[in-house]
Amino acid sequence: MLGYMEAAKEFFFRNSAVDMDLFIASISGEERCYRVWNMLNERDMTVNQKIIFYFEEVIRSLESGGEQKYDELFNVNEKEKMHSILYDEISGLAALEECLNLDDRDISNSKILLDISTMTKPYFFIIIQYLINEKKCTSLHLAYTEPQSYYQLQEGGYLFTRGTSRSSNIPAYSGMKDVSKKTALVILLGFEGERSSEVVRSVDPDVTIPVNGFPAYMPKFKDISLLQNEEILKEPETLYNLRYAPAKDPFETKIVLEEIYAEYRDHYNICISPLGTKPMALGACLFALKHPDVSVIYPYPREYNFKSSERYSDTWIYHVEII
Amino acid sequence: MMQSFINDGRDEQSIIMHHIMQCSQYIWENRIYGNNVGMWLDNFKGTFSSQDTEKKIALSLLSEFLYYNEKEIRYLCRNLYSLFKQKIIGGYLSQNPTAHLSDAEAYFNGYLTSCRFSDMGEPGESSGYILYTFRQENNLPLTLFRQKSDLPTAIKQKEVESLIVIDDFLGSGDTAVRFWDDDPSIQKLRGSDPTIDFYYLVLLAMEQGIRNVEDNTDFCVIPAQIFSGRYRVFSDKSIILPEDIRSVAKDICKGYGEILEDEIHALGYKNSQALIGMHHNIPNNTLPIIWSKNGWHPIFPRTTKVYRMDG
Amino acid sequence: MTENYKIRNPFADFNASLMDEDDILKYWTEPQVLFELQAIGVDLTGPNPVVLMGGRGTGKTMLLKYMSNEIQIKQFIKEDLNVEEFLQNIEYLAIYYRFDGPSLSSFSNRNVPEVAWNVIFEHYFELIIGQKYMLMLQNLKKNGCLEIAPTDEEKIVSRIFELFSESQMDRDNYNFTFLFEWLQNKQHEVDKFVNMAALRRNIEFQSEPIIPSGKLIFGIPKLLEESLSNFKHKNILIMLDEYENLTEYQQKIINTLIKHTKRPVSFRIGTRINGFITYDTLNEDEFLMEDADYRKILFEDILTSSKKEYKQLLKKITEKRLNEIPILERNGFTDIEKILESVTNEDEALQIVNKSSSKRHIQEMKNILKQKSAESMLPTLLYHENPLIEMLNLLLLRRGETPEKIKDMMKKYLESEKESEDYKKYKYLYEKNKLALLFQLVSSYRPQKKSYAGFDMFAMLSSGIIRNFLELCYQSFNLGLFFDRNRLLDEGEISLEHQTDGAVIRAEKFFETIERIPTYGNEIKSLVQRLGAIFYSWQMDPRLKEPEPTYFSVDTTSLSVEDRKILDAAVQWSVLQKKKPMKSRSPIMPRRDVYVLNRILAPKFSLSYRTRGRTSESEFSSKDIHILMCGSEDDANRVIRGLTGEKERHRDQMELWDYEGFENGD
Repeated sequence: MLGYMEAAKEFFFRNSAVDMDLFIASISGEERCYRVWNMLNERDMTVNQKIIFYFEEVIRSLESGGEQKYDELFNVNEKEKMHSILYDEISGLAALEECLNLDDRDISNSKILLDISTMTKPYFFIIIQYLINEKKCTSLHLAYTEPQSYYQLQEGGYLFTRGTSRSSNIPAYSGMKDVSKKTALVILLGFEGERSSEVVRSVDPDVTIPVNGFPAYMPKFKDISLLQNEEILKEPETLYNLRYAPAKDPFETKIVLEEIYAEYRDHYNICISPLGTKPMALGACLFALKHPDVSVIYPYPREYNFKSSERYSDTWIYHVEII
Repeated sequence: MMQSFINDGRDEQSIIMHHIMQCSQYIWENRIYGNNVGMWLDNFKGTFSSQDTEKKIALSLLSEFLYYNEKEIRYLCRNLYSLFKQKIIGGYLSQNPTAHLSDAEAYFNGYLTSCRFSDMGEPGESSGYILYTFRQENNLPLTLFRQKSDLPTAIKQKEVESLIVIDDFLGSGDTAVRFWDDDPSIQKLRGSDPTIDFYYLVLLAMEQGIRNVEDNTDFCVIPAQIFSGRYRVFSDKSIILPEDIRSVAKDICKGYGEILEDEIHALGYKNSQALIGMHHNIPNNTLPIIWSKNGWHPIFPRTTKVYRMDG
Repeated sequence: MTENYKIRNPFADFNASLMDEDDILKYWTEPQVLFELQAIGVDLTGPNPVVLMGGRGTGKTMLLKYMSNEIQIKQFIKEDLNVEEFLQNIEYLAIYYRFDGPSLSSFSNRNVPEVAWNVIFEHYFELIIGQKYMLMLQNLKKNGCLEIAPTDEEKIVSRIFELFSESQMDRDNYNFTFLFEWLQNKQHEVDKFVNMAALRRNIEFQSEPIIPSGKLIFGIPKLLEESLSNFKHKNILIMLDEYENLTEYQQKIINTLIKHTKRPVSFRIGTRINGFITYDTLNEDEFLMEDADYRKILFEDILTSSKKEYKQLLKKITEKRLNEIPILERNGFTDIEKILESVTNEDEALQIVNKSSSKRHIQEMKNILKQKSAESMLPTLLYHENPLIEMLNLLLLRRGETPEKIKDMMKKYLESEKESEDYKKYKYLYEKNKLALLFQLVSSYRPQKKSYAGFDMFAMLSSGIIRNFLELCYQSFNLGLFFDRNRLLDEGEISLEHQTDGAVIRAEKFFETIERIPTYGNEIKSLVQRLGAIFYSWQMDPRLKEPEPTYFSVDTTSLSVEDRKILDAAVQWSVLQKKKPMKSRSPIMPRRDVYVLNRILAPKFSLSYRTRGRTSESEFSSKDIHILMCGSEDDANRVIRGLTGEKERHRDQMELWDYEGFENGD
């Protein structure tokens, strides 16, 4: 598997004459959910088919008329709208498959662009695995738009989720455990320290390897994520194990995970929890696809905050080639 | 800006001290303890405001200090190489839009053999330390690292197409510009072959410094971490200090800074107003109240370069 | 002066799961009380199933792991005993397995019928335990505890295959390793199926053979007993930890195995309180019954049944850790009781008052006396050596006692006139209320804080959960090492202030994690926040109707199913601790369940760490509870106001709570 990231502007400039076979995105309460779609249109790129996920939980959180607003922004017709439930990725995938008649189609060489900016991690994890492992796609383009800034809680924390519904393996990422081995938990650190603690509590690992997003979107974020995760870092061995991966680079993240895998696989079952940025999570996804013995655990929240950031910043395109 | 982990019953001072303790434990490599902080705070005698105010502001500033520990510096060296690689591959793909990534990878591997990496300063300086770390972290062969004086010969022999200079900190950019203008090896290189690519790879860079270097040299600057104007402590857009205390804080820092250094550099070299430090050194762009030893007990001492004040 | 080199915090690693086998052995301290369990019919190593219930950090995992064959063998070797005699000397061999919640939830999605998932899980569990048995045998062999000829090993493995497969496998080299790998491959077939089932609709599980429930779990130990003389009369214990992670149907499967356990196998189940979703088995009308099918150990209760023993256990555990730090060991600073500086209530009161220039409590006394036109009596009610005496006098004034009477009572007390009724009454009031009065004193001298410091205090705050105690020590050491290293390393002490800050930090962190409790985190957090406000308000009641209120009672039968689940979850996660039901005031009224707020939260709300007294105020209605858990801010505030509003008290009611007794935590 090879990967390359570039600024979206460069990508769209270079590919303005190219047709995109399939575009997949999702709505949320944030501007960046349609940023990539706008960039496609600005370049007059043709998209043969598009699917926009309209998650019920998101729609409920929008103001009245919100759904129609996204209909216009994405210029969708009813067939292109995928009504799904955020907490049921399996059904969402099944619906996607049905909608696109993917049972009968060979899309292995199609040009697919998946915008993960506002899609939840479990959702894009399962879609990517489906496209690569089931439909044998040889290349994928994934897009991600950074927020300009995150909303802050009064105390200085950052809130993206609330509460915990359950901690479980992301569907299709349950791994294959070896009963004779111990468990190593790799946590891609986010700002919500309690979620890391919840994952550690659920997995009860023998060793924890935290990976901090660094360099981060903003310089100070590297410290914020560490301090917010103090509860798990206070174990000396865990702090000693701390690694880094760039917050916006999934391929470098994958390389770091490969290094950890090589170091621990002989004696440990490896479990990953992608709580950091979405690009880092994408790196974890690509890594897990290459190593089916690795499991991926996610602390599903009771509520998502569908407007946790404002405006948008840079957009990145990630090319993945399966060789 | 401040993380608060303790209930509202505690006073603000306790909260900040606790935050500093956490920073020291998890980020600052346990470089400071409570007694260090105490001795540093004792520097503030109430000369420019009440002693209480001076100490509170000093603590606030310390709690916002951005420090890059050894592990982070090492990782930045790795990241820098990755950014350089992306740059080269991006250039290739621009020329060859339909190329596969495997072609781009092969192109980069070939290009790398014609690159030479070098530092900017004298041997033993931080740039040299970073160069060594950069090579180690990226497992690069020694053949790609040459003394600057050897480079013109290598270029004559058509071995070298690119010079990549590695540095740890870019503040005002003056050092890099001086290097470009005055360094004899660079002069020779520029004279010997106009097609040579010059890259300046730097771990940490302030925005105004990047502009300075790009405007006044042919270096293509690739920074691993950029500090926008918001990271200048007393700028209007500063995210370091809240607006209501910025003016008082500036007076205090400037006041002491003038005593410790001089008027021009009272708030860091050429008014950089940085609050940044690294494992191996504190740049003089950072506020002098943090690092100066001139009759002052520093909280993060700086190892000075004897021969010049740089930025 | 001690230099600034790094000292490891001796309490930094206290999570049993993060400890490897050597660490568990190193830090293991056997609770004396475990020896006494047999007296109540609980045999940890015997043939009857045992359920160990307790919150996180009570030590269940540590105990279960300690009993496992891996650690017992290491212990044997550590004691320089002859490994060949290991099997002769032990009564049991245990395998440990932890139910991984995140993985278990994968055994369910709509692409596969539920019936199929249940069969797959039974098969999967057989494969897991089968592998665990093989690992145990390999471990025994590797360490020289078990000598077995290859032909005998082959025979055993062959017979194991016959348990579930009619056809003979034509193979050489049947050994435990081969069987382990074969079982592992079968397990991985299940793992692959689980993953594929998420992506494909209408998928069927195809793997042969499917092993029925119990075949290997009971079959293998029986075979070993028949085949190997060393295994005769040995109990094979299957230690299953985190039982609460199973789904309802999965628990039914295991419950069935427990109910119908076959010698020599027995089960040890580690679970949180309320961790059993069901006690049913797969057979209708059949369920697990305590005492008949299993014995239960409630860890928090066992450990705190004797405070003295609990404290001794804490001291032993901490001593081991402190000895690991060279400078502390060298200087003899290994007694945690001495390291944690403490202060008496009286000294603390004196410190509080002396720090302030204005004597606020005296001013209040003056105001009350002024209203009674008895200002001249003020000097007679003062006792500067002990402000708590003054606070008691203030309390009595607030309750309407005359200044003359108070003066007389105080005088008799101070002059130790032990025969007099006034002495006895005053002494009783003082001893029972001095802590509550101290809280009130501190409150009136804000921003000063009540200290939470000292070994006894930390032991109380830990609420019978060893991990809580270690966390308190961790935070205190952290602060001591950073802010006052010299005092800790040269004098072997951590100040009151740093201990208190540590306790507050721990309380805050505990509070923050509540929200992440699955499903009911938000409701439990709301409840705790509001209870804190109520208890604090009661504590500050000028007439001190409720001396140290950190509990409430409710008739749980009147709660809705959902509200009961929320309370159960709060107990399961040790946010609340359930105590023995109170006797009702009248025989026809239902018993009320008593819930105590985990004491670790006391520093967050500036509450007492004890639970005292009994009044009607602490009896909540089901409606109150519901609103406190789920209600809006406005509704909750209304309830809080109602529960904490000033009420007329008569003096004879003061007699009521003086002499009736539900007391806990002294």
